[in-house]
Amino acid sequence: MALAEHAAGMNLRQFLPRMSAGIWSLSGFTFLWFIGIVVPLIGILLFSFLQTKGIKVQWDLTIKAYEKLFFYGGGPLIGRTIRIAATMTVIELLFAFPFALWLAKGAKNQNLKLITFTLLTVPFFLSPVARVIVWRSVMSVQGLVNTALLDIGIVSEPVEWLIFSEFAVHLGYLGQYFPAMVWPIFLSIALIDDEYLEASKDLGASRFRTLVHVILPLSLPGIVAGIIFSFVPMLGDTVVPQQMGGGNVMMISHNVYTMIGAANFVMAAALSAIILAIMLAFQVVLWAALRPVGGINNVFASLHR
Amino acid sequence: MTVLAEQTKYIGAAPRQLTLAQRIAERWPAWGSIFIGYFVLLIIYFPILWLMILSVSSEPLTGFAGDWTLRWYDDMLYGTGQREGEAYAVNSRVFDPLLLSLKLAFITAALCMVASLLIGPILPRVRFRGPLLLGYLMPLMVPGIVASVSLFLFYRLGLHWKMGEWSLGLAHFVWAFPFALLAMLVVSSRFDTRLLEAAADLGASPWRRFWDIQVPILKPGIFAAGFFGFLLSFNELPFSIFMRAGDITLPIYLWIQSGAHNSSVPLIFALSTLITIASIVLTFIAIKVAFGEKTVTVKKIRTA
Amino acid sequence: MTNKRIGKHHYFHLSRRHFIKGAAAGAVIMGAPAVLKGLTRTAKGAEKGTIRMLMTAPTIIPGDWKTFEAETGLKMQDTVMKDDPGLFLTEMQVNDAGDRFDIISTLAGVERPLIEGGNIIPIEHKNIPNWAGMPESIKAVPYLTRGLKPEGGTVWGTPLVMNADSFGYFPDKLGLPYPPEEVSWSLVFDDERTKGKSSTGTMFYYLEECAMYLKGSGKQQIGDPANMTPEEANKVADYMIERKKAGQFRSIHTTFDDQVQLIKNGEVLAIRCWEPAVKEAQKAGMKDFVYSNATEGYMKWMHGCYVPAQVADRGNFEEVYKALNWILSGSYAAAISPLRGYVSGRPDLGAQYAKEKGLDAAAAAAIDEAQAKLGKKFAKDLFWFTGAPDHLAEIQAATDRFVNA
Repeated sequence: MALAEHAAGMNLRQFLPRMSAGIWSLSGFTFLWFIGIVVPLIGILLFSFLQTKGIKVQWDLTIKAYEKLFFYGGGPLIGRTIRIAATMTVIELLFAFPFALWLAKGAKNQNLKLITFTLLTVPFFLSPVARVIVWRSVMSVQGLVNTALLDIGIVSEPVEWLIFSEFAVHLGYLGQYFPAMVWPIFLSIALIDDEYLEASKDLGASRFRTLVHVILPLSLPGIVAGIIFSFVPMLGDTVVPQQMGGGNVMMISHNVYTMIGAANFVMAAALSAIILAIMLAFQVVLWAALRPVGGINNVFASLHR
Repeated sequence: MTVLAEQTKYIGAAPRQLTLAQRIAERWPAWGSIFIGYFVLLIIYFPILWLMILSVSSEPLTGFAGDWTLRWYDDMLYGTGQREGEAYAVNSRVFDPLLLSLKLAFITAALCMVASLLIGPILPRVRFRGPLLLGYLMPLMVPGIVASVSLFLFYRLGLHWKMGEWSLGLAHFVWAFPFALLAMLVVSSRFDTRLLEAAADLGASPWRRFWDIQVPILKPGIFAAGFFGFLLSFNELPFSIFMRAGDITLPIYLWIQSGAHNSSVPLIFALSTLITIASIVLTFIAIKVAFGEKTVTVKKIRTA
Repeated sequence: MTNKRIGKHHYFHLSRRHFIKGAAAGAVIMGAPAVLKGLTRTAKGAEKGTIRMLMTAPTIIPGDWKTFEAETGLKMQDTVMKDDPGLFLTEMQVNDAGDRFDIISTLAGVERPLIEGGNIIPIEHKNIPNWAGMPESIKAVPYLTRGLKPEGGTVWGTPLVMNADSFGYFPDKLGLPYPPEEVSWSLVFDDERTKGKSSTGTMFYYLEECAMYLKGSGKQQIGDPANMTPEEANKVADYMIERKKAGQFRSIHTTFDDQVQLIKNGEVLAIRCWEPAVKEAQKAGMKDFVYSNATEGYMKWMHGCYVPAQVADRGNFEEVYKALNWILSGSYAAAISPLRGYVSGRPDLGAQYAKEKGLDAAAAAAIDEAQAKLGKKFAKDLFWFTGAPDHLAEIQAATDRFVNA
């Protein structure tokens, strides 16, 4: 034991030059990031307790902005936003995980894999508006889907809830955030050494046990990243709720935008502060959910061999 | 969960003699997940393909194809306002924003690659990684437009710096870096530091250890960071709204056009079609290069 | 799990010395832009003979600026941004847009905070020859000559384009008369025939329009629909929410394309929309869709041209006035009316220009129609839309309450 510690000490000393370069860049970057980015972002908390007149700030602390926010119907809005974003995150995860697993470990055809990777990447390049605007006409009362349904005789009246409804918003989100969920999960599963899985099998573990006790923990960073990659942008998405919901299923992002468009910076800050609180609560829930496998802080560390 | 378990059979499963029914029963979870995946891809690509078809139809907003025309491409390239009889002059209104967006995307990608390579390998191994990670992910937790306003208030009203391309670049970096860092952490958190120790024992200089060991092994992460940086910057709108001073990126341009009392059909349908085709070709090449090489490099290093 | 095996040596200690070293480097990098800015600061004056114009809508560009450049000998450099008052005021008052532009155009009404903030300066209309012949009704539009300062009557801006907005509808399908017969706004807000088949929009001026309807039809007591108190705005929002819950609206739209799509896809029978959307539908063969003449009145709006205070330092007044004069000339009127159906400050000069240059019949008709609007739609004296009412934030919040409901 003493010998081992001695060896570790030796290593540490030998490592010092590289480490200090690493620490040096980490602390420098962290300093810049916190002063230049985190401080201004936290500043909105302060800002939400002020009042403005035009673009001039009045320096009296007040909770007027929050009172107004709830007076103007902020409560149901926030609830609806979280409900839809959370539902879709869960659905994306259920759809994306098996697919990513197959893509990483199951798919053997190199060309098929390449094409699938390409298909999963190209949507990122397209403006979100371009990706959903077509649904509006395809799903309209005189659109392709309704025409087809009427022709076949499944329905006798055009189906109105295909667009401008909650169903439409969910559908819009499904395609929009699927690649963002698949990619990180795929990446983390692809990095699992096949030897681990073979070892698990050699030790007599069933496929289910291998999945739960080897693949799932090792792909946790990817799953966490995937959840963040889809849940967070969904909260802030302006396009899908507006285009697919047609003003019947509004979510917070549009509201934040109209507030700022009307020079109502303080209420926008208050709404954002609430979102910030929700995100922190979300972290706590995630942390609690990950406790069985060592908590969120250990998600990354747990991958050490 | 049993559904998922099926797939692990691909790994090292010994061939067994099965009846057809058994085989179908065994395989359905795999086929199920493949089906779901490609079904969602179909949901993604149906509107994109239909949009491409509509871009050559005369009434794209009705959603029915037909009556083929190239007028939307014409309008996009030459502007919609020219009067009859005048000679066409290329109206570069789309091209300048496109070029600016590409430029910003490349810069953001480069910054993301460098920054995540600097931070990614060390972060999982420092004491305060939890709070630090939370700090880095901060821009993800505030709606983009508000983050944009907060940064604007800080730099413009607090520090009295004038907005310009620098602030636009900063905004894009702030938005993309958390994603790039997470992508890098997925790879770097399982990086085996003993490789470096071994190299040090063999007398490799810090630079050689960094360049010959860390960089090749972290290559997928670096590549992913750059890729996310590029993509997120290319479509970034909310952060740009306040962090610019008169500069017009492509998303800003489309956004301005959408507020006008005229149709942005040429821009949405024709421009998106061109970008789709270009990005399919470029992405296919990029992925072929990146993924083909990755497996080889990692294997080589591992076995070396 | 293998994490138990992580020894202490895997942690790098962030020592204070390391951190301070890094922080110092960070501070240097933070400071660099400021230093660089000092080194590269140059007077970014206008090139002589170039007019830089900030516009809040791409729709006001007369196709291109070739005619402008040929007739004035000036070059035009246009920059377009959105017309949301909050964004525009920030650009002007915080981002010093005046440093970069010689003329700014904005949705009229937003100029009031600019006057109060000293961001724009009065215009000597004597130096703009085409100003004098402008109809008195246009000269009296409050945005141009509002007497906020003691020297009341000062001219602050010149008109760019304006229009009187109402709604579009299908007369045959609804069994209603075609224009010029007047129909009520109730078709959009409160009518069994259009239930689930009408649409309005998400911006605060749609609430003001509804207020105009409620006032005009005597359903609610409202002082000035264009400048409501928060209480009035909330009462109007209550009414609209009640209508929304009753299933009146098929959709609440945001953009021009939304409007066109709703019309073309048969989703609506009546929709509050912009006139160019009706033109678009008619171009696609929907001749039974028309823009209404409304009983209760119109949302009259104007885009005005204003001169930033910084122009006084640059001293290029002569060129600025030349450009403003061109916008009031016949060439601009003859370009913009056929293109969008909008009215310029001098539609009469437009008609004259069309005759002189021998423009085609359709263009001439559009110009005549624009001129006729002044005597009809604009004569209704109820409602001039202002981009910046006193309680803008509250009115938008009330509108959002309706949209979010």
